[in-house]
Amino acid sequence: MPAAHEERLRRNVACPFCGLACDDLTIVQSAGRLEVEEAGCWLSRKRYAELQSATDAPPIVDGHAAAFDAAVERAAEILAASRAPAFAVAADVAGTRAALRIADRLGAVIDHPGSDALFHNLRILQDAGALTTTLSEARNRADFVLVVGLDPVAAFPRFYERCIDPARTLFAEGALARVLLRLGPPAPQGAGASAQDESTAAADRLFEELPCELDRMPAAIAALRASLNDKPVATPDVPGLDAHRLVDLATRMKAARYALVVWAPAMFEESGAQLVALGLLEVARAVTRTTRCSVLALGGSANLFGVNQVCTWQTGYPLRTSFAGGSPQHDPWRYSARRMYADGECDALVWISAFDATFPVPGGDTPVIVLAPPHAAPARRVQAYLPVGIPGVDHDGQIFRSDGVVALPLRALRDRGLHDVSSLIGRIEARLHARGSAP
Amino acid sequence: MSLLKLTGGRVVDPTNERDGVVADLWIRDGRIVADPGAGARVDRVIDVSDCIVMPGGIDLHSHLAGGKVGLARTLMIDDHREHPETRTEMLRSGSGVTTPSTFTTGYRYARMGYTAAFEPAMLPANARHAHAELADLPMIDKGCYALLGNDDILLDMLARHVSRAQIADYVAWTLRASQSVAIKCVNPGGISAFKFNERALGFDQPSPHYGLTPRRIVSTLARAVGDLGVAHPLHLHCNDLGAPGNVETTLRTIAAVEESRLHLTHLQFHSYGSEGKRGFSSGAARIAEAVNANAGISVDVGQIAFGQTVSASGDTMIQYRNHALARPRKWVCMDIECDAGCGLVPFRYRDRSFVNALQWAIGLELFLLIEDPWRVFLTTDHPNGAPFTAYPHLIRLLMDRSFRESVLATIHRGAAEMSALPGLAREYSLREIAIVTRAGPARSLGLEDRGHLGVGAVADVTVYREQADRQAMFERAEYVFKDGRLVVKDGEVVEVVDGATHVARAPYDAGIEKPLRRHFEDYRTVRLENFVVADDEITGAGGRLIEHASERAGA
Repeated sequence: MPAAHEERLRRNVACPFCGLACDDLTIVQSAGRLEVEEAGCWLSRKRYAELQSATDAPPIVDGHAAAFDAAVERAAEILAASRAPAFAVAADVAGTRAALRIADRLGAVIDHPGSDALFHNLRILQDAGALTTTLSEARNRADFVLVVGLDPVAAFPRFYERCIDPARTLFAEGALARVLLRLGPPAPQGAGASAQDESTAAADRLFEELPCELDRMPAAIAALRASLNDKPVATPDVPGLDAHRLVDLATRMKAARYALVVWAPAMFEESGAQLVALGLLEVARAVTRTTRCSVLALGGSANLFGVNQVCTWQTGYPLRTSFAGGSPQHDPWRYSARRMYADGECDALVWISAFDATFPVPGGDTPVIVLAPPHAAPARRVQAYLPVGIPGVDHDGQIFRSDGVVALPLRALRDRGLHDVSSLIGRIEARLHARGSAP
Repeated sequence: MSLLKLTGGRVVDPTNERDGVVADLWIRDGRIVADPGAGARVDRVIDVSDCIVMPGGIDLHSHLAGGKVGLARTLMIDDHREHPETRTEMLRSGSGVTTPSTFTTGYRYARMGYTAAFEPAMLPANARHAHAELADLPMIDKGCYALLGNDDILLDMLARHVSRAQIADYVAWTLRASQSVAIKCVNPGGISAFKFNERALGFDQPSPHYGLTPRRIVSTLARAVGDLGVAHPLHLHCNDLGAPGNVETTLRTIAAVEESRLHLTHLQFHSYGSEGKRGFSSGAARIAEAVNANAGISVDVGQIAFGQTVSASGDTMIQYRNHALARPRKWVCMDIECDAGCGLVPFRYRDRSFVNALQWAIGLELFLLIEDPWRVFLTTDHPNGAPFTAYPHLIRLLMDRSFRESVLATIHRGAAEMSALPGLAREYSLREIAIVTRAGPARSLGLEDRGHLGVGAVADVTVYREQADRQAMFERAEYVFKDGRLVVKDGEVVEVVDGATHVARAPYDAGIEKPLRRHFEDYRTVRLENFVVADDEITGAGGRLIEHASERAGA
């Protein structure tokens, strides 16, 4: 039945499951299943496939299946009683707006369940600035690409396909010729390589490798900076990496027309990541004195950058901001929702993970309200669970991509009658209002 | 259906040639209505004796939203810490002065009596973000100007010498795709050139790769906007912003578009000579003379005020050049999506700095030397020259010569001596203030039922209590009505409302989407279908679109 098939075929679908937000997918829906027919990757195929594997999960009150209204009432009850609630929000733009609105009223803390990596880079942006770019510029201009750290393709499967190896680029006949280097630990070989990722192996062949373990990266980058600034370069304390190779790297970066430095902050430990972020900014600044150079940090799964953008425009501050004092206050350590929950500094946690099952509810005794799609329903006993739809699967929405500039429209692919985060928070607010509690 | 009467106020409504006459104003269903005559049931009468009644303020150039504002907020974290805003039963919390959070921005505009403001530099690639952010900016109507003239699509079209009609089609498509109300061009060709590592681009210098001069980009875009019949002319940030001697570039630009209308934005930053022992002087007199002689030119000033701010601009070439001036010492440059770029450089304008003091004087010289108030608009290029909350201070500087001279006496003496300001006796009247903050911007943007108080106009009305101290008078409106609703009383917000979004709709040949679609597939990382911002993305977030349709010349 071609007509029926055609009806359920959606082109130019934006995939909400990683920070690249590739928007060229063709998705087919048949017999209640969603399948990536064109332009996906192993991760998107896996994520869309997960959506039909789970049976629908009922709302939960205190560990037991319950009616929807009862779960809403329980959530309102917990929030009404709470003096220090914390929100961890992985939602689309509209869901984030609603979360900030209720958090402002309740004097809560606002965060994202996967925000650790955001602060690896953000602190350096706050204190020093940035020299950066976006995916389309990288695709068309970067004739020299330095990957720092682990190969990001493991988490961003189509990065090379879309940004480094396109068939055509704007300013060259055919595709731009590029020099590709990676400064990082040796790539896993043979059976150790990720079997699910067909693009890793292809990309690896193209790379010139400069060995450097992750914990030695700040030293290697410092030596590279020295070389770029024409200062004497001592052999860095990096096993297997000679100073002359860094001098050579500096020379080649300066000879590039547009050098691109790519890294994924989430692949570093926190303290090292901030040193890497600052070091790479200084590298880019040094190269930019004579030619062009930008740093592209990959991240932003589960709309991390979108949630951070909405928080920034509504409050003036990034995530990890507290409304407890009546006006927003930001502290990247103190107001981590995950840390507050672990350390007993909040008396209620609202855990919103609208995209997938990558953020399991943290363990603990403090009351938790969970908003997640049925396939990502909490595995442990919680005080309230409310099923929500997935942006771009069950309802329309908007998310931001890894570069923080491009936002993409998400359109519903099916209708299972699920609430979105925004409307669900509206229900909870209405119950709070009816109880005579703020808001 | 309720009928409201504002009685006893002095109405300053330049569009309808009312200049301080005592008159009653009638409001019904969000509009100004004629006196309904005796016997009409009046639901509410507000006595506004001793007050000035004006249309709501319209800021046609204020960097309100989008990626660069987010980056600016992130850099200016101390500004946010120092200026918290506490939530109330009605109002959301927020923070910041130089780049306030969105709710705070809306409340502050409303308290000053403004009812509309326009984001003047929206990258089409960032349009979805800008509109989503503006959905959280209450109290005022909004609109955005789409950046063109450094995007690889247009530059490629120009290099291939496509037809005038095709250029106009692309411009009209961009307005539609990005939900914009006007077209902006920033450093024509220069942002693109910087991506090819050129650090400067002269007005008649061919750009790298495309071989296009800024002259050709400006004249083509200005003509295309005219061909489309879009009300607001090309909104141009000239080449060479901030460079001593850039007065020559600005004068060449004015001459280059003699057949088209053109709006020169933040003109203060483009009116610099290179005379004197420090190689920096005022070019305001020459610029004003050229503006006075060319009826097709309008300008906004981009006045600076002394103090901390942050410059947020699409002009990466200039922002990179100025990065060493950053105070505090942090800055951002970003190349964006084959579309344009953005640069952030915090600035601290100091009255004891020769250059800053002269910049301050140059802006005021422009205000005082440009004769036709209908072609000059009051802006600080928020936040680049100063935050928009500096407007009441600026109004006092324009209206009160003795106040102006008292400030002049405190600035860098060398700058004061080089300025023409001490000899300029002009003081703006209330009528002129109403023109440069209301009637003029409305007319320039084609907002026919706004910026005035005639029968049928939208009831965006501001009432100021008459005070000799014009700064105090304009800081807190006595009453503000938005679409006929009382939203501010005694300088405080009493009802939170959502504003609408103005968009320009010009016809285009839908066939243009075919090559554009291929371009997006071959070179970009977003599909055309997802690049376009749909109407329901704005209306679905509680917004309302006000469409301004135009007809193409010769169509």
